[in-house]
Amino acid sequence: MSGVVYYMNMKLFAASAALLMTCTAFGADSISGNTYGSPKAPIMMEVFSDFQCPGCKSFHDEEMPLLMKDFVDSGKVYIIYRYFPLDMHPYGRKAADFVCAAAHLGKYHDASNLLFAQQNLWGQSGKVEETLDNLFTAGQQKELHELASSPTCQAEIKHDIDEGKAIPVTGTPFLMITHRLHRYPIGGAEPLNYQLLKPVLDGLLTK
Amino acid sequence: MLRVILGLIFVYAAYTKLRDPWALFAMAIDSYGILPLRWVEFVAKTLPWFELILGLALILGAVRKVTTTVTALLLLVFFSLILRAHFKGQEINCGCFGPGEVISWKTMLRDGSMVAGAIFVTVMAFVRRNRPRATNV
Repeated sequence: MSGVVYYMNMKLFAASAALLMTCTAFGADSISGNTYGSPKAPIMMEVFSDFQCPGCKSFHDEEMPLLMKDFVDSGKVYIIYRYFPLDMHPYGRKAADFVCAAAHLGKYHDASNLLFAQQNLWGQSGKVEETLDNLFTAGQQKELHELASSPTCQAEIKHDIDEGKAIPVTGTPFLMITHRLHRYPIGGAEPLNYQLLKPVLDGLLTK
Repeated sequence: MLRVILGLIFVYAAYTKLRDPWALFAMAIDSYGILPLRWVEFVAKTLPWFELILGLALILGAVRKVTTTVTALLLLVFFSLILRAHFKGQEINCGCFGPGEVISWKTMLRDGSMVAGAIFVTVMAFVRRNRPRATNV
């Protein structure tokens, strides 16, 4: 009987610790629309991504639809996209600024999809805001441009970059998978192969 | 003593791989870009168990010539792959003791030391066996 009580107490402790870690590590000020799925999912996957990164485009176009179908839509995985523009991409930071702004206007997914779809265009020209303006009315465009350079977005992006550097993120796309109290870093310089990523997630779900 | 330490290291390495989904180790193997996917899966599922058995055999001192030689050869292969990845500029996960360890000079120093230790233990296993036993008159 005392063993059962001890076990229940430890489960409660673990759940409390996980909740505390979640609240402190992923504060609400760093997430505004850049998510997919339910935060109640047993697995959280943070995707450190650069909108000008070809590998990130590939992940967005090929792996994300599979992840959505197999894990996110069924409530198994919660995805948070972290802004992690690389210095080697001249317009990556600008893209992050404007997508963050779009997120605050409720259009993160549309903005993200559009930038990845037209990466080869704005990646050459640098015309990030002109690309995203198509999603907004004239009035909203003004707001978008203001938000992009606002302290709010700058702080959010800085938060994500600092978090990535602390890991450290070695390249993009980079995944940090959190399941219970364990964190599993995947990717960076390593190719992300869905044929291996899927069994990782399946394996964690059965633990 | 060194043999036992190597054995404990191998047992620990096996534990770090077996406690997590096999596919995590598979991703680390895949990142070296050496094996096709079906071989990646095979190695990811079998190598940790092999490490565990080898580690226990080292600790127990069973079949010393064989176990120490296999250990040295295995570590030489691992070390070669790590060196290859480093000099190719690949910032990949070592895969040695679970995820999250990017190959660095510390990795190479550590694994190089293990190789040296394994070679020493192997030599001693052969030397001790060849040394004539003292006979009591």
